[in-house]
Amino acid sequence: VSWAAGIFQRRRLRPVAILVTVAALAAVLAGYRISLAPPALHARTQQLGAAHAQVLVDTSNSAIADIEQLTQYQSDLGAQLAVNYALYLQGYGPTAALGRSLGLGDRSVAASGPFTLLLGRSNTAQKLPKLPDPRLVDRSYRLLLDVDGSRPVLDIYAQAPTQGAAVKLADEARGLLERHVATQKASYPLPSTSAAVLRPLGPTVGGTVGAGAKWQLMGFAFVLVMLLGWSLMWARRQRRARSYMVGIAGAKLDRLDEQLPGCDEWPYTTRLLPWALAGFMAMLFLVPIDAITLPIHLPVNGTLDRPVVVALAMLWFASLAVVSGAARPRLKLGRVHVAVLLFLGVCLASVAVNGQALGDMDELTLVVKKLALLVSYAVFFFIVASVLRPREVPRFAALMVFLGVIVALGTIVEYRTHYNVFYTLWGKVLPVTAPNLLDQVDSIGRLTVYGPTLQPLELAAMLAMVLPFAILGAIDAATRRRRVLYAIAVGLLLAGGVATARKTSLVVPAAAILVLLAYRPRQVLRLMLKLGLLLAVLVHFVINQLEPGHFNSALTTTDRTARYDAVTPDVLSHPLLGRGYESYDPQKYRILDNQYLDLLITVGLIGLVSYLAIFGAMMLAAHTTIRGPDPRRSSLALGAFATVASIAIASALFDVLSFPHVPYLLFFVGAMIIALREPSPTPEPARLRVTRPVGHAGGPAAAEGLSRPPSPEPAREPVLAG
Amino acid sequence: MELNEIFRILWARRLATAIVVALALAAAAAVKLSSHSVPTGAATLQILVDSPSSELANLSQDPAPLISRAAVFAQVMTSDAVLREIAKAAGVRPQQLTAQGPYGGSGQVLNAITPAEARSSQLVAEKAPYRLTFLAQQDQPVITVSVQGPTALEAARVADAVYTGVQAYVTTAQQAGGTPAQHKVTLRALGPAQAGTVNNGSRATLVAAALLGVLLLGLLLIVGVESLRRRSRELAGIEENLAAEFDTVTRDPRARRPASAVGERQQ
Repeated sequence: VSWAAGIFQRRRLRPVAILVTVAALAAVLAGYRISLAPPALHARTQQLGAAHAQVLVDTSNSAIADIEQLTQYQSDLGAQLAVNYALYLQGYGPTAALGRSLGLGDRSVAASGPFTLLLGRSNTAQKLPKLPDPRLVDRSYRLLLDVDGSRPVLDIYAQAPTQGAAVKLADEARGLLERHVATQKASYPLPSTSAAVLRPLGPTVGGTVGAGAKWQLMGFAFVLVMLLGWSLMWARRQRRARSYMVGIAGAKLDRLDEQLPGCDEWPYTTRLLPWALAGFMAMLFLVPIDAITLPIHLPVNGTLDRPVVVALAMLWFASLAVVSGAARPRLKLGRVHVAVLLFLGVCLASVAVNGQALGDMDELTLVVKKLALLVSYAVFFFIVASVLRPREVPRFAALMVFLGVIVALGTIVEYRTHYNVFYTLWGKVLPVTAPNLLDQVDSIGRLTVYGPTLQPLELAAMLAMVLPFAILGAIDAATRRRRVLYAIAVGLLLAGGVATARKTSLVVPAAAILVLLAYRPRQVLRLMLKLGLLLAVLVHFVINQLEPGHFNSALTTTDRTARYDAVTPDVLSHPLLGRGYESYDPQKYRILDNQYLDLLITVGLIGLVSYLAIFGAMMLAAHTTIRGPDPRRSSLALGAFATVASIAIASALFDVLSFPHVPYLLFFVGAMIIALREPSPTPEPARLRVTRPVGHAGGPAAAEGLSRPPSPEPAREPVLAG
Repeated sequence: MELNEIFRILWARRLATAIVVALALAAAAAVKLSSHSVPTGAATLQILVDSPSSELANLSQDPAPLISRAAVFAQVMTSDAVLREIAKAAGVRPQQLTAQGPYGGSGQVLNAITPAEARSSQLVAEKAPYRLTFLAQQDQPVITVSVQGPTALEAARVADAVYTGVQAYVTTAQQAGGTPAQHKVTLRALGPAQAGTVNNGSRATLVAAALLGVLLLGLLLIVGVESLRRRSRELAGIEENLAAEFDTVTRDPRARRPASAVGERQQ
């Protein structure tokens, strides 16, 4: 104690000692619950015992052995009987009896099923009264009864805090059922050909899930708190110097409104890369890239975006090798780059660590495809961040709004007429595979409007990402004409989003608008009030979706929250590094509709934190620019900030990384944030890196190479603000 | 931080860089050595559920009961009781086998929605190196067995043992029930197991992932730590200068700068 007190008394060591104490406390809280009366530590349930048993509903002469015993009719009857047994074991009496046999006193075990038959489960809202349940149910002891409705086999699954308890629960359930059937048979004797016989198919098999999860979670909590605390201490210690440096960096930035003579910026440039990026953006908005697989043999996937990114990378490498001066891409490693690389590294590590299991389950092919897609995103981000210049950012933002409006118009047309202009037109020139549900009503009664994407959620998110730039364009516009145009764009983007008939189309734009409101409350509020008329038009377009009954008819929210419990075993089995990046195949296991949950399962807590770090790094970088001296940079950075925030929200609503339109757009916006932190390059024509002697044939002009000399163009009006 | 600066840092910290490279190579080698049993073999076998007087030979026999029986068999074959017989016939431990299927039920239409209780049992079985799948044909009394294993040879061995194991289980049931000979369910293997190699590139993928993952994280750590140290030194220097300037200003009011200049700096 005196040693510890001594440490606390030393001034330099005191914060470190406090931090270590807090981290240790966090680690303990991650592993244990603390009770005050009586004071004690109770271990949290971070491992699960699992058990499985099977019962065949048979006759005295086994159907397995005797060819005379099983007809289709008998099989169906046996299957129906299995359903009845499953329902019997879920009754109040049996669950209470099972609770007593497990030593739970007056508490029942929780029972459910059958999930394969989807009995009693519906994805549409049912207005059933919720009756009070006086029973005490211990949900850590759970029984799941499953039958498929066509075979006379009953599956008994048990879950409990320990393997022994789970095995006991399954055995007790099977025994209880056997006793019940025997009692029934005794009360009304039947001929041997009619009497049901329950045959156990082997002993109950058990195991433990998440055996080491507790210590891993405690260690993670300790390290995370240490890292966060150290970051805070570091930032606090040097806050004065940092604000001074930020001030100096801000002073070095040129104002985007001020004209820079002889600048060489898109679209008034002969540099190829910005034009290529503009082309990529147009492709992203107007082409259903997911649905187009080119007849090119690539090691991973031949969807349209992959060869285009490869071509873009080749052009970028060529520029790095050949071009010098201001036109050369500037590759700088910043916080966002580090976060992206960290995430990529963790994803690779998760695959390497779990490779054996992934190989056993034949899931490596999917993982390789997803890793290739992730590398595509990272490469795209590095290219854009090195190519984009600050004065090009407003023009690209305007381009995004323009393209977003086209997509929104196409979406509204699709919603009203069931005609998808993107798929139809591109299908005439490229091998487009249209989704099965294109413009059809899905299983829960919603029209599936795809636009140029492969998922209505993706379309809704894409339109929401453009919205902040349109709103800020309307606020900052210098002329009335531009303001009206941007206001119309806002209305169309909202209408297009809502036409996707997904709740995401309301939640994600709302998040973006809230962020804008937090930074510029008056201006944004004033604009939104002025947009009342447009919003009325919007309601007219999509009135069906906004009707209260229609809006709430799908239980998508309930479905999403139900997944949190269902994936607990997956999370606990690999809490730190997950089971391997994107190895949780939604077609095989479960559609999660939540990127965070997906990452928690596939790359663990470390991967999830590094994914969040990408958003954090982007938003932190944007925040500095928002608070900077240049209003134009500030406005654009705010738009980018809101876009990034909206995707951080959208990540909780669907698996963002699986649908390339959104991540590409996110990384483009991230690159815009980085570009806004840089000063404009000094006007200078691009040069080839070949040095030629003075007086060479062709003269100095020929040696200057790629770019034309700066043209004496008149000053141009910046596009976003008008 | 510019690219050439990163290279300069890595060069300046060449010992740490060399250690990271060595670790990456070691991780790749470890993955290559440990992943020798990643399934690269697959084998398939078909079993006919038949009567003593073969359905194929008997024109008067209705195949419908046999078809429904095949569906039940496919499910019973996934049970632990049958898997133990198969493991015994194949000469492997029962824990090395796991079975899945048959697939069906209305839940499959909306994709698998396996609840936590059932998922826990699936996770327990994930470590088994031999994975068996049983699929009953829709309109024939035939069960298709698919086995994945470390090598094609071992997968074929287990696939062949499926027939032997199931036959042993059925025989035991027939003996226990005293089934008359003419009523005995008869299983017939439709030829030996067909084996082949799959997932050839899986090990290379894992090796590449280990190498790149460790290399990337290690190099990021070096560059990150070094840039933090530099930044810290830089900020500490500024802090000292600011403190000195503050001292000067507080001691000597004549050294105070005009308010406009201070405002500029604060911006």
